[in-house]
Amino acid sequence: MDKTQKNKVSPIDCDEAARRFSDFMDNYIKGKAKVELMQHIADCRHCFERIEFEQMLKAKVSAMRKITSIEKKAAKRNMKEMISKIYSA
Amino acid sequence: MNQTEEKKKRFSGVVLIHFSAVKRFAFSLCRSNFDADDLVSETFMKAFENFNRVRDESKIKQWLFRILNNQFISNYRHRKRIAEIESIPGEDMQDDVDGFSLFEAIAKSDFVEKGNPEKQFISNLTQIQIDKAINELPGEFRDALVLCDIEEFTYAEISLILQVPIGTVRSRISRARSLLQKKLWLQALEHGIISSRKTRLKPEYTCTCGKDETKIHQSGKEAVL
Repeated sequence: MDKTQKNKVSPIDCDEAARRFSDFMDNYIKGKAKVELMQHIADCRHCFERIEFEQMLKAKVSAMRKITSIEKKAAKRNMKEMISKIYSA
Repeated sequence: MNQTEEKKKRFSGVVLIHFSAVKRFAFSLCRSNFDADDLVSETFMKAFENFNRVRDESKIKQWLFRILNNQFISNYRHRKRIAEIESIPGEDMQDDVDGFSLFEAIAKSDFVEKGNPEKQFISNLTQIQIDKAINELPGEFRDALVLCDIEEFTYAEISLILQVPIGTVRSRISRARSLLQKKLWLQALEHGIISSRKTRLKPEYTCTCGKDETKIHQSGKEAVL
C-alpha cells in the first residue's frame, strides 16, 4: 500500500465513531482518525448530539473536583494535623 | 532561616497545595476515609523525605500521585482489591456494559423533558449521584477516570502514575465512561426517574454514514435495559 492510499480518509459508521469518542474528548486522536471522525460528526446529527452529551457528562464529572467550603475547612484541619506530624518526625 | 525551615516553607508552597487532590485520589483508591487519611499522611511523609531530590517543580502533582499509588500498592491494594473483586458481581458485568450508551438508553426511554431530554438528564444529575456512580466502578477503571476527568492528567501522566502502558490507560478510561453511564442509568431506573419503556419518538435525523437509520439508532452493543 503506498503512502497516499494509507492516508486516504474513508467514511466511518456510527459504531466506529462511538469507539473514538473517548479519545476525542481527551484530545488523544490525531491525523486521519480525527479527520474521519470529524467528517462523520459533521454528517451525522445523531453522533453530533451524542458526542455533545458525552462532553456534558465529562464536564459534570470534572466539576467533582470543586470542593465545598465545609470540605475546605475539614481539609485545612486535616492538613494542619498532618504537617505537625511530618515536621516533628 | 536554616535549611530545614527553608525546606518546610518550599514544601508548603509547592506540595501541600495539592492536599485536597491527593486526599480525593486516596479516597478513590481506598474507599474509606480512615484508610485514605493514613495513606495521605504516608504519602506526604515520603514526599517530604524525598523533597530535596525534586528537580522539576511543574511535575510535583504527578510525582505526588505516583508516590500515593505506590504506597497504596504496598499497603492496601492486596487486601482491598481482593475484597473488592469479591464484592463485585464479576467480570461479566464489565463485558455486558462494554459500549453502553446512556444517550441511546435515554432516547429509548420514557424520559420526557422540555427541550432536549438527553441533555436535560445530564443537567439534572447531582454531585451525589455522580459520586455514588464513580465509587461503584471497579478500582482500576475508577482510578483511571478520576485521574483523567477530575485531576486532569494526560494519558502519558496517568500511565506514569499507575505504571501501566498508555494503551491500557486509554481503554480503561473508555471502559470507565461506559460503566459510569450504565451506573447512572441503573440509578435512574432504581429511583423511578426513568423507565426503559419507550414512549417518545426520536427526532428525525439524516445520517450519511451508510447505515440504515433505524439500525443506527439501535446500534452499539446495548446492554439489556
